Amino acid sequence: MITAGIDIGSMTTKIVILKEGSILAGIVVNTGVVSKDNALEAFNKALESAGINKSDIHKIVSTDYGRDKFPGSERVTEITCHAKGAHYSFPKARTIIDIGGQDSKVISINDSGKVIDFVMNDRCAAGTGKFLQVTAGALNISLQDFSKLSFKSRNPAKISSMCAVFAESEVISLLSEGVNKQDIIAGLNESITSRIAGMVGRVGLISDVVMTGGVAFNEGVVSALKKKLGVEIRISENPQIIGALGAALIAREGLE
Amino acid sequence: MFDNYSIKQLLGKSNPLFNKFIINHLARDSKLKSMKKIIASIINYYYKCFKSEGVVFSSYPAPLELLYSFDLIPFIPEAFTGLIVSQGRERNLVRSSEESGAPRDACSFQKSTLGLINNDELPKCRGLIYSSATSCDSPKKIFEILSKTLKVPGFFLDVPYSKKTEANDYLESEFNDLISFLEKLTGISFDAQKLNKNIELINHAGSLLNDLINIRKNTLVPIDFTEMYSVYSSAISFNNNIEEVIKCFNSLLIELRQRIKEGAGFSENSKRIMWLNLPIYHDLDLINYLQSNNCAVVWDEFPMLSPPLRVCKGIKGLVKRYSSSIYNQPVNERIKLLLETAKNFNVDAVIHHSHNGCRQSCAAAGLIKNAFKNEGIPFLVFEGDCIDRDNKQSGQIKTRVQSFLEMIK
Repeated sequence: MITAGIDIGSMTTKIVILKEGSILAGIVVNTGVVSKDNALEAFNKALESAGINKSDIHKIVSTDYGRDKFPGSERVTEITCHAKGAHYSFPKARTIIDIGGQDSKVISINDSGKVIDFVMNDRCAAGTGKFLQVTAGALNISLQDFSKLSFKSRNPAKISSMCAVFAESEVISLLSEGVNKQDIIAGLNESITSRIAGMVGRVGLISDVVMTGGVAFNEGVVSALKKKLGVEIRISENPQIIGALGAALIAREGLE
Repeated sequence: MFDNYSIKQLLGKSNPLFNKFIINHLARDSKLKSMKKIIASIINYYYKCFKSEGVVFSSYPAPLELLYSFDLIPFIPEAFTGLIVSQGRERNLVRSSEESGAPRDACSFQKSTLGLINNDELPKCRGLIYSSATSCDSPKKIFEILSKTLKVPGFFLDVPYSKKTEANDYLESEFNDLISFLEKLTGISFDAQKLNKNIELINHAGSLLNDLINIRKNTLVPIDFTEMYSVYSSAISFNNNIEEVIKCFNSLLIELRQRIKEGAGFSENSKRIMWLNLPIYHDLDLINYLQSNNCAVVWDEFPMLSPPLRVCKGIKGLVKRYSSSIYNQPVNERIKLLLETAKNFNVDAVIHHSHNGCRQSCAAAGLIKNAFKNEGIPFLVFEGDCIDRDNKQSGQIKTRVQSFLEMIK
């Protein structure tokens, strides 16, 4: 039995194709404009990577921001899909922190992987990948360098703005005051982790904690978050595809 | 459809156009015959307001019994604003209020009211009554602005945040001052017998409203959320014709009991939802989404702003009605009531929409959520705006509600 999960986020589209519990393909492409054509193009890349045709797939579940854009799929929200994918990858997971491109969420699950509570960021890009992308742009450094530079910080800067646009202005002001980049990045990480810790507090922190989404690749943020929460954080080899994996697993369950 | 018409233009056109305008927001798809009568009575009431020589603007809850005793028509701007939004007109109203100085994050109910005043789109106002017995504090300031803008006298009814005997004595003295204010405003002397007759009628209508609220305790729920909101719209002012409202509520009760006998309504397998704070008036599709996904809203908090109590006659009866609101008491009282109600209505899950303007009500959302979590009842809190559709993306809200439904499935 072959099933697929497609997670169409605001910045990236993730696709997982599963065959009897093994991942045949797990790809990440830029979403671009969220449209049916772009979603199908991304899906064709995954089919090519798996070496199969669309007709070989028994069921598809789509999720996230663009879930309504993929024809012929069952739609399931990203909360349920991330919970399913994280529980499959880490059976002891109880708290899932997902920081994606446009939103962040904290999900609490029970020992069967069932969602028992969740919170999502409200209103704006505060504490999301977009926030990091905008501020990295203001610092004129790549996201890869951004990820590691904070470890060199001795005196993290105080970033008061959570709004991505205001934070960009604040970063520019700090640079003009002569504050070095590593201290600014450490300050930004602190700002994001405070936001996420607040969300974790609202659902209640229970170990094991799993982090998913593209920001899980950012070592500086992960390290600051571990320190803030005082727990170990588990991250899979490819944290970006966990939602799509969950979607593919839900598709499989629907056929059993 | 109505974007290009002001309220006064609609009234100046023809009855059917204004009727459609009001019906568009209320339970327009209702198959209940009595609902049509209820909506017709609401339309007649608004006609009366706009055609009258002057109404009294009041915050909600309003001292209806007293106002009727002075032959005054009460008009609740917030309730009318709720009707306006379905037409997509709130954008202009909110912007208009901001242009005249209202802050961006003020309550959109109040900003729309200011916008309506700026556009001269409210009935002629004779006077204002506003009280502290509400779930939010913004009407107090907005009514002060209205008093100055409209150049009409206003009375602030100070309702103590306490259930002590001394607090009730104080509230009684406040009502006596209000009577003096109304005597001066109307030139009519207070008639205690007239007040008692109105208390009796409102007690009667209130007990029928209670029966309508409680009918959703039934395993088969015979009325939907938007239909119940039309009932509340009617009850907010009792449409200045309490006898007519009593007839409408009676016929609705008979019809709903018949529906239960016939097995019509939401099935017994529906998830039973408690809705806290207000619905999103501009996005009733969200309610339709819930209801089409095997969920029935069996209880919502709106009537608790002014609980339909049977009270004694005289000023002491008014004191009792005003001081009984859970919004005028410590949050523990609200939590206690909600938990008891959830048990009585066999609630499966709770949705709390935190309207951005309701600071006082929404500040307690976390405490309430924890209390329900301790009882093992799933609880969703999400932020939104009842009126201003530009203040929150409906897609984001829908994702939260969809996720919650997947969670409680």
